[in-house]
Amino acid sequence: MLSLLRYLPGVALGLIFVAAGLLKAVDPAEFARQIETYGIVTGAMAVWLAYLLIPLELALGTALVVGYRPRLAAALTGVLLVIFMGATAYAWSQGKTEGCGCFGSIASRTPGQVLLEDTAFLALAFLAVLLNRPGLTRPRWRPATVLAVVLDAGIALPAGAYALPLDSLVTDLRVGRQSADLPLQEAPMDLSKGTFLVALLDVNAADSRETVKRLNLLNGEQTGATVVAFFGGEVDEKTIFCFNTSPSFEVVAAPRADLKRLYRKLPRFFQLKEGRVSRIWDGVPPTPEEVS
Amino acid sequence: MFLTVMVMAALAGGSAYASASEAPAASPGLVAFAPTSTYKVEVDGAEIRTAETFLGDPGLLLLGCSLRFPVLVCPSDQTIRYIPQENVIRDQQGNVSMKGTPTDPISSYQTSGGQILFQAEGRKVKLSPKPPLVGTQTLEKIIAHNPDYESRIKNYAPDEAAVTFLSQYKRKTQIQIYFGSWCSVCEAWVPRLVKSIQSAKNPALEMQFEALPKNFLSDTTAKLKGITGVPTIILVQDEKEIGRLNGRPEDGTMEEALAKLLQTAAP
Repeated sequence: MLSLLRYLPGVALGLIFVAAGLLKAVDPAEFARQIETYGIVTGAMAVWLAYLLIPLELALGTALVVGYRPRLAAALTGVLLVIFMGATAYAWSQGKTEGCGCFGSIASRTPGQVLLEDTAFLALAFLAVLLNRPGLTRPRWRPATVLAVVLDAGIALPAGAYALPLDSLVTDLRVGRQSADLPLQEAPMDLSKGTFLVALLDVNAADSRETVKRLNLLNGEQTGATVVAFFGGEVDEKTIFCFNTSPSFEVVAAPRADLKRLYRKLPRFFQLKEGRVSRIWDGVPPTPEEVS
Repeated sequence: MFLTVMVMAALAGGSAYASASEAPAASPGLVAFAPTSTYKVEVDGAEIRTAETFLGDPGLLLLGCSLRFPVLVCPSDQTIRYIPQENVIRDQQGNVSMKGTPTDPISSYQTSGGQILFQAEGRKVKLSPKPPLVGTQTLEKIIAHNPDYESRIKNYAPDEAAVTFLSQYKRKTQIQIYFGSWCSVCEAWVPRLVKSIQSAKNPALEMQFEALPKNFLSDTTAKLKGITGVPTIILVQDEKEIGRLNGRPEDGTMEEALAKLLQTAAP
């Protein structure tokens, strides 16, 4: 019993790392964007780092859970945590924090909270190193094989994540959901009555003009739906976007952290009928026939 | 025609429905442009304070930006064109009209990071949204900065019970609204609050607006008031804070939250 307790800090930390790794693996682009916000690496470097860190997190987490070289795994996890904490502290010192400062973002944590959380994880890693003395009983199954499988999965999953139909699992947007439960409180109209086609857009996307052109055709009498577009960002980003794309519909800025709950990749579109999500489209706007 | 009006409104720098009524009527044969203060013009890195910007169906017209001719930024084909000076007519109200057609494109423009960039006469021209408001504001100034506030105030239907309470509230109260003109949550919720207080028609309730910069956590006013996010609504009676609303309400409307706070803090 006592020897099992010795595994506990490592297993707990391992489960946290596996869960964090899986969440990142299903949306690697978002993880790369988060890395960029730290202001240390940008562009392709951030993407590479994301695709490197995901299998690493999964592998370390799995090693801790299955007890494969637990001291080494815990020590490496500790080193990784120290690197994360250093990056967070640097970003904090540079004022590069995730939140926009608007109240309302549910997913954002302050850098102070992140550091506190990482300190607790570091303590777990330290305990795992301390308690997993050499000579402890090891599991009888083959942890190295499990680790190898997880490592492979950690590389394969992010690479094919967006081709997998995981959106209904990892986002809050599902057919049947009520508009009141979606983070669309900034809408200047009542979305619970009537038919709306809601577009979630990236205002910096290269194909914005084409997307808006198609949405303009869907707005109004022909389809019976009112188009309303949301983007995650600040109000002034709307100015040039609207000038350049000439939308015939309302464009609404909203906290990015809130909207992120609704998508993995942009653009995304969904229909609201009397306040309920009735259909969802990814990538390109629906046709008028699909909306009406 | 409907689409044209909507496009005009979209060009005005905000949402399509925001300001369709702002487009001036054009005389026959003339294309009308309305002045807009939404944009800042920079040429070769220096802000041109004398530059004037006007919006119309064909795009954004730039006058007085130290280029040889008036410039038209055309979003339909992302081109830059000249308009011969004699074809630009200004009326007594400050509106501008164009007769004839602009020249063939002299260049094209790119958009990057919320800015429009192009070259003309070998010079780099940059159009970007005006910087956010900072400091004490009036509602008129806020609307001039972001016309969407006006349409959102106009279109919002506040909760009647809350408005009735607010209209009957007796104690003199300053409603200090700390917001960011850049902040999306503020753009959505401040107009709803304004409309509710306007609907209450109660002289005891006085609104004050304080615009905070983007990095407001280091702003002196924000520090002094202990503001950690925007919008923050602080209620003051007899120079003492009686309570505050932090951001959008968790449930219900802004006016309900305000009424509830007044009811509990200073009935």
